[in-house]
Amino acid sequence: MYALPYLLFLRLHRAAIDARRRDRTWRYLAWSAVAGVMAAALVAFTLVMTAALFAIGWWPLALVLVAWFVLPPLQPLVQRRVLVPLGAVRTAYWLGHTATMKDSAALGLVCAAWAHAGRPRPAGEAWIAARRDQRRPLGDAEIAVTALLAAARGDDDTARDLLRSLDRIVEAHAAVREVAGEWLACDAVARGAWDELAADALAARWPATSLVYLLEGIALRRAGAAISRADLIARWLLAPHRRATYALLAAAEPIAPAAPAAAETVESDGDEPVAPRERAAWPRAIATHLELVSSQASARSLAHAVRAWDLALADDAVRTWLARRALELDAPLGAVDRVLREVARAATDELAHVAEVATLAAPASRGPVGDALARRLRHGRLDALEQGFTRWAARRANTEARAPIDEWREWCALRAAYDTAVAAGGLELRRLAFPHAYTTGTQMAVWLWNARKEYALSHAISAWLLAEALAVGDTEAIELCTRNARLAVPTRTGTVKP
Amino acid sequence: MADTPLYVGIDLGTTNSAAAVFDGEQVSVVRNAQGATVTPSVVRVDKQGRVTVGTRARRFIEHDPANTATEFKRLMGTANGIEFPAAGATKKPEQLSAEILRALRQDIADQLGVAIERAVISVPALFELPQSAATSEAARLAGFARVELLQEPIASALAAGWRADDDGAGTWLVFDLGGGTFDASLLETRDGLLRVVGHDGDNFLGGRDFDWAITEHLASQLAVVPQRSNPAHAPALRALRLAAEDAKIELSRGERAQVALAQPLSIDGTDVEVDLELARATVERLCVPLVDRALDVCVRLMTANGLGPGRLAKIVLVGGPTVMPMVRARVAARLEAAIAEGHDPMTLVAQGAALYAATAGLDGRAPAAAPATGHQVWLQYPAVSADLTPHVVGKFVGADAPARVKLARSDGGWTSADASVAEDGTFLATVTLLPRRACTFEIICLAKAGERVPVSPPSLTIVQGLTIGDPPLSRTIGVALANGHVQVYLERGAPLPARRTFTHHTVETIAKGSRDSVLRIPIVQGELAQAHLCRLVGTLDLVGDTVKDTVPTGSPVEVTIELDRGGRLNARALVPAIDQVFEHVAHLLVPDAEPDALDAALRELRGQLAALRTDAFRHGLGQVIEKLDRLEARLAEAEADIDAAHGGDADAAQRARRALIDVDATMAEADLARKWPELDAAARQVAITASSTVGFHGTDAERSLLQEVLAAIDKARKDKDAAELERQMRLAQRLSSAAFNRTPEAWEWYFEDAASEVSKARDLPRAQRLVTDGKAAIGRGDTDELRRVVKALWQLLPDDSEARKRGFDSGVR
Amino acid sequence: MTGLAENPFFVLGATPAASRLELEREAQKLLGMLELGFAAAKTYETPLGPRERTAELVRAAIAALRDPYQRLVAELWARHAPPPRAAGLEPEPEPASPRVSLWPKPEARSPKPL
Repeated sequence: MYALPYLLFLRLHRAAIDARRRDRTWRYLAWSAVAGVMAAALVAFTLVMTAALFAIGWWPLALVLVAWFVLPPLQPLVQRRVLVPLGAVRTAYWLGHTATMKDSAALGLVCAAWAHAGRPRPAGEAWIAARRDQRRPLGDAEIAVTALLAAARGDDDTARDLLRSLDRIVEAHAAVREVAGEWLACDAVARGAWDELAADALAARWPATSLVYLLEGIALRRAGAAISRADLIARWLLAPHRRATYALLAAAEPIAPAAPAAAETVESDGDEPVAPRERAAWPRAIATHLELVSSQASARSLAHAVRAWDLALADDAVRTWLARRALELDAPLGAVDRVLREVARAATDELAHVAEVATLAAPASRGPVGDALARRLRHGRLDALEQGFTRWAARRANTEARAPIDEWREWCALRAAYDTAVAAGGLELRRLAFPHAYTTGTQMAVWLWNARKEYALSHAISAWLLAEALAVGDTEAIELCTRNARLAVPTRTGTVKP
Repeated sequence: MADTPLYVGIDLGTTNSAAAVFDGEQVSVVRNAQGATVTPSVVRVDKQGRVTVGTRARRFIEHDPANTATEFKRLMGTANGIEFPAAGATKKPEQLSAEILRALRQDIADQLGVAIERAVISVPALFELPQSAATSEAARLAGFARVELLQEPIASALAAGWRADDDGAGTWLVFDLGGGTFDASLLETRDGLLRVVGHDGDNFLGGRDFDWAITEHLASQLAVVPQRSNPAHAPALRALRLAAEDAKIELSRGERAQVALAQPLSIDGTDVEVDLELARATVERLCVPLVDRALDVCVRLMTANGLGPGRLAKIVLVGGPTVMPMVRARVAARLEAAIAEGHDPMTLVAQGAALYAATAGLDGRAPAAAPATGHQVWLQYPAVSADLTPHVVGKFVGADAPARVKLARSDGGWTSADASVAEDGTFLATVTLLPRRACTFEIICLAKAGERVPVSPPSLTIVQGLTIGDPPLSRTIGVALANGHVQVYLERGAPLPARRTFTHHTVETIAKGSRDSVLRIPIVQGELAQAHLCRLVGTLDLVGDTVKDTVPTGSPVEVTIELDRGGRLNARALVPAIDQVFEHVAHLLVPDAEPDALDAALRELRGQLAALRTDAFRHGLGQVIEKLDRLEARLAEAEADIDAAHGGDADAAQRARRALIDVDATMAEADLARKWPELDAAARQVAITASSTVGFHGTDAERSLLQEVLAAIDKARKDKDAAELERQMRLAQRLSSAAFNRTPEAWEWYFEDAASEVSKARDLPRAQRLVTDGKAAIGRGDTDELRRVVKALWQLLPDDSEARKRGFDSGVR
Repeated sequence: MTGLAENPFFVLGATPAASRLELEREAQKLLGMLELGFAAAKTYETPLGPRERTAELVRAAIAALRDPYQRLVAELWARHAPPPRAAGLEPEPEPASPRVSLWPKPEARSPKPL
C-alpha cells in the first residue's frame, strides 16, 4: 500500500529515462529534469519511510528499504563515481541488476566490464568472461562486454570494431547500448575524430547518456550545426566530468572547413599529360614511385606511377643503357630482359602494397605494370576473401563450433574484409566475390540458426547477405535471403520481427 | 706455431672423410693414425660397446655387417636409428657422424699438438635444414665448440682457385661425383673474389650407382642370381658389391680385373662360387649412361646461365668416381674444357673448407685468455682478403683510450698513417697487404703526448688471397600459404646468417581458450612454388589456449625467419592485434620412408601418370608426352629402390622418397600444361549454355550482365588466366541457373531430383506426402505449388543438398 | 631487396659507379663497424629517409651486388633516385583541439587518466 507511490515514482523515472534515450532535441534536457525530479522524489520518499521505520523501531526493515529503494535511481551515479574508480567488478554487476527490469544481467555484465576498466585485473576479466560465456545465445550485451574488456587491455581497435558491430544485431538492450555509445563517443574525442562523432549524432545511432549528449553537441557545433552556446552549457551542466570537459566546451567553435581538395579523377589513357621532354622516362618513373610510397597515396598518384612505369619499361633509352652496362659488368646473355622483368615485378609489388594499404582500385593503364597490378589486386583480394570464407564454412562441415562471441568476431572480420575489398574493387569485383560469400554464408547462417540456436547471429548474416544480394542483383539469392532474413528472431528482449 | 692461427676444414663424406689445416700460407691434409689422408666413414660397435672407426672398422663390413655402419650420412636428419645388435645399442646418424668427427679431431691434435675447437665442415650443396642441423649437432657431440657449414662445391672451387697459378679469372665448373650424389656448380672468380653463379645436381646419382651397375652385372653371371628385394640375399649382394668396388678401382689402372671371393656365397641355401673376370670396357659400357646423365645436368646448368660449350675456363673434378679415366675423358670432350690438374679429388673439399675457415676468421684453437697488458682493443678485419688495402676497425675497451693508432707490417716494408681514435674509443685504419702472403701487423698505440703505450692484442694477421662471401643458403626457405603457394623468405644463395620478416594475414580465427583452434604457419624448404612439393622443415603453431585474446580472421601476423651459419632455423610470429609473440618452432625431421607407404605413393603416381598420358595423347601434346616418358623411367628407378627398401635398406627408402617427390613436382607441371585446354573447353561450354538460357529466360538486367561476363571470359581465355576464368565461369553459371529456375521445367527437374533422394529425408512420412503433393502439382501444371513442395523437400534433405542442387558453387548440372 | 628503401647501394652508402672492390671494402668496413657498435654505421640514408642498418642487410646487399643481374637492378633503381633525405624526425602535427580521455584507460596507454 505504502509502496504504491514509490512504484509510481519508479515507473515515471524509468519512463523519463527511456524517453530521453530516444531524443536528441531540447526535450532531452526536459526529460532529464523529469527523471531527476523523480529520482529525488524517490529518494526523499524512501528516506521519509526509513525515518518512520526507525522511529517505530523496525530498523532492519529500514535498512532493507534503503538498499532496495534508493539504489535503483542512484545506480548510474554510484556506478560512475564509486564503482568504476574502485574497479569493483562484482558489486557493479549486482548493482547493475537493479537498474533495469528485463534481462537485468545484461546491464549487470556491462557495468562489471566498465568497472573493470577502472582497475583492470586478470581475475576480474576472467570472472566477467566466464559470466559472459554462460549467456547463450549471443546478444548485444555479450558483444559490448567483450569490447569493453578489450578496451581495458588497451586494444581500442578491437573494442571500436566490436561496438560498431552492435548495429548489426537485432537484440537491443537500451541501457547496454547507452554504455556502448558513451565508450565510442569518449574514444572519438580521445582520437580527435569529431566528424565521426557528429555523424553518429546526426544518425542518433546510440541512446545518449548525458556525457554523450554533451560530446555530440560539441561535435555538431564544431561541424557548424546550429547549436547555441547556451544549449551547450546546459548540456555541460547536466553531464558528469565537468572539469575534464570544460576545455572541450571552451574550444567548441565551428571549424572553418578546409579548402575543398580538387576532386580526384583517375586519368584515362587519352588525356594523360605528356611527360615533360626534359625529363626522361626512367627518372620520372622513379620520382613518381617515390612520391607515391612516401606520401598519402591516392587513386591519382597510383595511376600516375603505373603509367610512368609502363612508359619507362618500354623506353628504348633504358634498354640501350642496360645493354651497355650489362656488357661492362659481363652479365650473361638475356640480362636486359631479365633485369627489366625483375624491376617490373618489384615495382608492381610495391604498388600493390600501397594500393592494398590505401584500399585503392587498380588504375586502367594497359602496360606490363598496369596489367600485372590489376591482376594482382583483383586475385589477391578475391583469393583472400575466398580463403577466409572457405575456412569459415569448413568449420561447419567439421562441426567445429567456437564460442558464440568468437563466431561473431570471425563473421565481423570476414565482413570487414569483404567490405574493404569491394570498396576498392567496385561493383565488378563485388559480383565476383558475392557467389562464394553467399554459398558459405548461407550454410553458416543455417547451421547457426538450426543447430546452434544462435538466432541473432544467424539473422545478422542473413540480413547482410540479403543487402549484398540486392546490391549485386542476384535474384535467386535475394529470394532465399529474404525468406531467411524475415524469420522472427527470438532474443532476450523479446522476439524481433524484422 | 702458437701465435699463428690454424684454420681447420673437415669433409664429412658419405663414404670417406678427410680433414685439412691451413696456417695462412699452406694447406696441409691431415693424416690419420694409419698414415692415410682419407678416413672411411665407417663405424663399428662391438659386443663390449667399443667404437671403432675408419679403416679398422671398414675391415668388418664383410664379416660383421650387422654391427658395422656405413653411409649413415644419407640418414642425417631422419629419426632412423642404426642398430648394433652385438652391443644392443641404437645410435642416431648424427652420433655416428660425431664418432668420425671425433676421430678426425684426434688426428689433427696428434699431428699438430693443438686441441681444435672450431672448424668448418662441408655439407652437400642440396642439404636441407634438418640435415644441416644434424651435422651441427654431430660436431657438438664430437666436442667442437663452434662450427660453420660450407657447401662442398664451394669448398672444392675455393681449393682449386687458391692453387691456381694465374689469377684464375673466368667461369669454373665443379663436377662433384660423390658416393651417392652428383653436384655441378658454376663458379666465377674475378678480382680475387669467388662467386657461386649457379648450381644443379642429381640427388640420385653417385659412385654407388656405378657399383650397383657392376654388382648387378656380376650377379647376373652367377649360377643363382641374388635379388635386391629379398632380405635373405643381402649378405651375398654386399660381398659382391665390395668385390665390385675393388675391381672398379683396379680397372682405373689396368685393363682387366679378377673378381674372386675366398668364400662361396650362400644364396637360398646353395653355395655359389664367385670367380669372374671383368674388363675395363665392360665397366665403361655399364657406366657410360650414368656419366652421361651427369653431363646432361652440367649442360642444363650452363645453358641456364647463358654459357655454351667451350666457355668454361676450367673443370674441377671431385669425388672418387672421377678418378676413372673414362669419366675424365668424357667430361672434357663433352664440355670442351680443360680439366684442372694437380688436385687430389679425395681431399680437395677438406682443403677448401680449411681455406674457408680462414675467410670466416674461424681459428681452430681454443681462444686463450688474453693477458691483460695495456689497453684492450676489439678488432674487426678480414682474416683473408682479396683486396690489397682492406680496412681495419677497432674499439678500445674502457676509458682513457690512446689518442692515435698506427699499424706496421712485420716485414718492415710498410707503416700506416696515424689514425685518430674517436671519443668513444673507435678508430678506422687501412692496411696494405703483400699479394698471396700472410701479413702480420703490429698495432702501435700512441698516447696524447706521443709516447707509445702497450696494447692487447699486440698484432693482427691478414692473408691475401682468393675469398668468398658468406656461405650461401642451399635451398630456398619460405612459408606455405593457405592457397598452397609459398612466400619465399630467403632465396637460394642468400648469404648466411640471414633474417627476413613478412606480414601475413590469418585466414581463420584463433579462438581464445580453445585448444583445438590452431593456426599453423608451416615453414618449407624447396625451389618450387607449390608448398606440397617442398619439404616441411618446421611449424610455428598459434594455439587458442595460449593467445591473450581471440585473433579474428584477417588479422596481420608478422613472421620472422632467421638462419644462422650452422643451418639452424629460428622463427617467430608477432600478432600485433594482441601484442603477443610466438616463438616455439616445432622442428621436423626428414620424414620416415616406410616401404609400404612408398608402395602406395608409387601406385598413385603410376595411376596419375597413366591418366596424364592418355590425356596428353588425346590432346596431342608432344612435349608433355616426352616429359612423361622421362618420369616413367624415374618411377622405374624408384621402384627398384623401394624393392631394396623392402629388403631393409633405409637409405634406398630415402632415395625412393625423394625420387617420388621429384616425380610429383614434374607431374604437377605437366598437369598444368594439360589442364588449360580442359578449362578452356569448359569455359566455352558454359558461355554457350549461359547465352541460351539467359537469352530465353533471363531478365534484361541479367542479359546485359551476361554480356559483361562473356567479355570477361573471352579476356581471361586470351590472357590464359585460369583463376579469373574460373571465377567468371562461376558467375555465368549463377546467371544461367537463375534464368533456368524461372522455367517450369526447372522445378520439375528439381522435384524429380529431390524425390529420388527422399529416403535420406529427416522426416520421411512428411517427405513422402510432399512427393505425392508434388506429383499432383505437376499434373495440374501448378508451378507455384511445385516450387513450394520442392523447397519444403529441400528443408527435409540433408543440409548441403540444397546448396548442391542449386549449383551455387560447384556448377552441378 | 626492395627497390629504394633497401637498395644495396644505399645500404652500403656507395654510388652506382663504385667498383666491385670498393663495394667489398665498404661492406667489410661496415660489418666491422656494426660489430663494434660504431654509431655512424647504425643508420643509412635513403630517399625515403634514414633506415636502420643491420649486418644482415649489409651481407645481403654485398651478395646482391656481386651478381651482375642484381647489380643492374639495383643500379636502375639507385641511378636516378633523388638525393637521400637528411635524417631528422618529423614533428607530430599539433592537435587542432584538446584531446581528453574520458573513459578509464589502462595505465600504459594513458599516463594521466582523469
